[in-house]
Amino acid sequence: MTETRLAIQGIGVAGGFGLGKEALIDALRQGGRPNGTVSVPTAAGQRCLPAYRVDESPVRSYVSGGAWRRMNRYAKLALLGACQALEDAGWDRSMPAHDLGLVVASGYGASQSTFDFLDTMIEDGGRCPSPTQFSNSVHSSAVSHLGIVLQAGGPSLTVSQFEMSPVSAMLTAREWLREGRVQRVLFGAVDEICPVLSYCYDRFFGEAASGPMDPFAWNRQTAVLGEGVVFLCLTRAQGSAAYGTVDAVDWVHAGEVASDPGRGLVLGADGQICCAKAYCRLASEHPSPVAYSPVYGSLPGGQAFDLAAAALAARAGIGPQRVVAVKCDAYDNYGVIACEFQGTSR
Amino acid sequence: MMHEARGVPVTGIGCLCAAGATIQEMTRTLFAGERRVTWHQMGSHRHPVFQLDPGSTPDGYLEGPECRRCGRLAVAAAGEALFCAGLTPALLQRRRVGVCVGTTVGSAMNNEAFYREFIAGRRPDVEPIRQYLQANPAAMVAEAFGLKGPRQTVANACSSGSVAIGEAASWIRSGVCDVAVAGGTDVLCNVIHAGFLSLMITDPEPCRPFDRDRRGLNLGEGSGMVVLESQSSAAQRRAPVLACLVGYGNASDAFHISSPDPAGRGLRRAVEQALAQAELEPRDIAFINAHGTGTPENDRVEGRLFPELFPEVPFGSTKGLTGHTLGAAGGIEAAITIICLKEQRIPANVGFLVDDPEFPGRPVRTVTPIHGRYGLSDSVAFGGNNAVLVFAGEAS
Amino acid sequence: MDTRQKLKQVIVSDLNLEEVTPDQIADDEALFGEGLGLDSLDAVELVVVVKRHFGVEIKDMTEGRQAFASIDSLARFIEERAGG
Repeated sequence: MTETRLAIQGIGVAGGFGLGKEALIDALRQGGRPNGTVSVPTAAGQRCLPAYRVDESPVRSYVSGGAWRRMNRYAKLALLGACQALEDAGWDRSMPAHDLGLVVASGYGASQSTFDFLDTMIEDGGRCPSPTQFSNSVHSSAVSHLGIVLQAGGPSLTVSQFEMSPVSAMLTAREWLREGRVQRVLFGAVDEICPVLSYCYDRFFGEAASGPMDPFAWNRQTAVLGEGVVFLCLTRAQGSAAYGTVDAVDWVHAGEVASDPGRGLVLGADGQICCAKAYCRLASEHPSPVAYSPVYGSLPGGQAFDLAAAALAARAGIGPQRVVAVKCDAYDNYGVIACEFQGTSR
Repeated sequence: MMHEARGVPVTGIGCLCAAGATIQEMTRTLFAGERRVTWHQMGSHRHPVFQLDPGSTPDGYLEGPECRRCGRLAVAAAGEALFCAGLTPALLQRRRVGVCVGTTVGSAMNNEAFYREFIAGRRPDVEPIRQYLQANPAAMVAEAFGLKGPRQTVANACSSGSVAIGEAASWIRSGVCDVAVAGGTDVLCNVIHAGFLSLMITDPEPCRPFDRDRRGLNLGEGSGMVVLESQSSAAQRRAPVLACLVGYGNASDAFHISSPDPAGRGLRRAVEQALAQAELEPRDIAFINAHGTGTPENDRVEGRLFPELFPEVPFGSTKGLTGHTLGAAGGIEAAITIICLKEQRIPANVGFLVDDPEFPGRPVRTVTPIHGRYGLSDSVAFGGNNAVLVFAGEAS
Repeated sequence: MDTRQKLKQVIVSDLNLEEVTPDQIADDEALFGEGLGLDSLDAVELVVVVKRHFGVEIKDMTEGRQAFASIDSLARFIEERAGG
């Protein structure tokens, strides 16, 4: 079966590096670092952890009051990335909205909204749980809000597969385009920090949660909390591709991840020690692996950030054009996405 | 027939829900119209729910952490489906097997006890979080059977199970995997129940899908899974083919985060897509397993749309016997649709008594013979996603 | 603070109405459809708002629909049941 290639027509990003493609390219050139902090309760009092945070306020310009007032932050982050990607691709409201598929990958989902709903269950003696908070607490709330704002009546899907969410979601995006279910897909990954998550980082990782991130330190935990959003506008690769193409998407379990010396290796290593052995082996088999996670932090949607970063790096002439991005989990699963990006000659 | 060449064979089905812990038991209960309602106390009220029979749930189901129960149910239903398909561990090892499971509770971090301790400043132990990280339903099914293909947990709210089956079929068609275990799973959960109560869309009595006086849904729990297989894999091992998935539609209302589009535009588009993929006309459909939750809004959309699009085609909801199992509904109802194709009859729409004058037609009141090879099952999600599956019964 | 004034304030705050202030809501203005333009999700949220801020329970939406016609009708409903 011939692999269906996808074209990347637009990119929208927001993360600890800032908002937009230029901010991401700057961070790739200069090196990334956490831009904020979170406060967590410890036995010894409040502790400040470094974190990669997003200021989502610019999304307000994309949404009218009626749609805005109910939107949870998870959906606002998604919208921020999606609208930038649509603008970047030049996909405007004149294009048929039913021909646009929405696929969102999220590991953390609408966790903050879940806790907001629990707050309303717990307060007032449990007599006043909020239906609005409940409606926002489902993992699919970002896609629902996006669909309403964009008036996108095509297929939609939310994937919850922790760090393998982006590669799993990319399989869906590819199938929809291969089958002709839609001609365009908005593919995105969004993850939001919340106080419970920050607390867990401190409890699970202790001092190591202070970083700094060092994805190639194979014997240490160095992950730093991150949140953010990436959206890619995808079509079948049948004509022009603004950023290049996704040539292959594979899920490999307990098997060979074929190493291709002709492609740059982008490792999804993000300082999580549970996955270090797998990344270490892959890195040892390649002359010059890179890891972009210090630019955006550790979050389940990381592989989507790797794709955006690699595409922008190639365009800026600071990264290879032919790339394979690999994400591992702790259970011998590998998400392998091979791409060929446009270089600086465009 | 041409479409059969593009249809994806279903070689196994498995299911557990309030109506039965096995396909056989559920079939008996469905056609007997036997309601098994449990009354669950929440606050000062009792609420009807469709709970699994504790005597027939998987081992350890009642003891383990709540977050792993979704996955345990999925493993149990997947086990029945794989057994039904004759896919032994040895056969599975030689194939690339994907897992696609829809859920709501299985992807939610809503451990109330943990969170109460956290906001009280008592710094709770993070063991519940660790358990949650081990509780992804697709991962649990894949690990339980040693499956090496792609995994996807679909979190599309109430259409998740149908979407999972439709997406897994695409994987088979394009060669991503040879076999896929797909469906949905969900468990009764106080937090989710409180949410639906707050929306005031539950019925304080056993639900009445499509009835004029319907007041809302009853929650249920369970899992329904199917085994999808490539035609070459099924042929190579001479697998029994129960049915073929010939059409899948997925379309969104883009209307509201909790109410369906009253005009049913997303559902209509999903129906059209599924029929187009199956190369069928509405008159080819022998019956419809409706979403039919019993809420005024949902049933109004389907109760108007189905008689319009499918005049004279019998339709009914089985949620009067299973409750609304959220992410599991599409999986359970896919299994039911396949059973109905085999039995050439559909169960009565239990709970329906009085015609709603707004509807041009009515659901089936009694067990009804069907004539034809194609059954349609739809799922309408909270937040506006609509998924439609069309199955072809095996040729007689 | 009188019931009508408090109602307007909690409606604006709890329903997150950014584009209107409490003073801009007329006592006899329709809350749903025309007027303030609230929808079905606001209706069930309003049930929670009334319970939370006034301690008054609305049992179902048949009861709610009549009470929610306007600020006036809702205030009367609350005052009757709160014994105020």
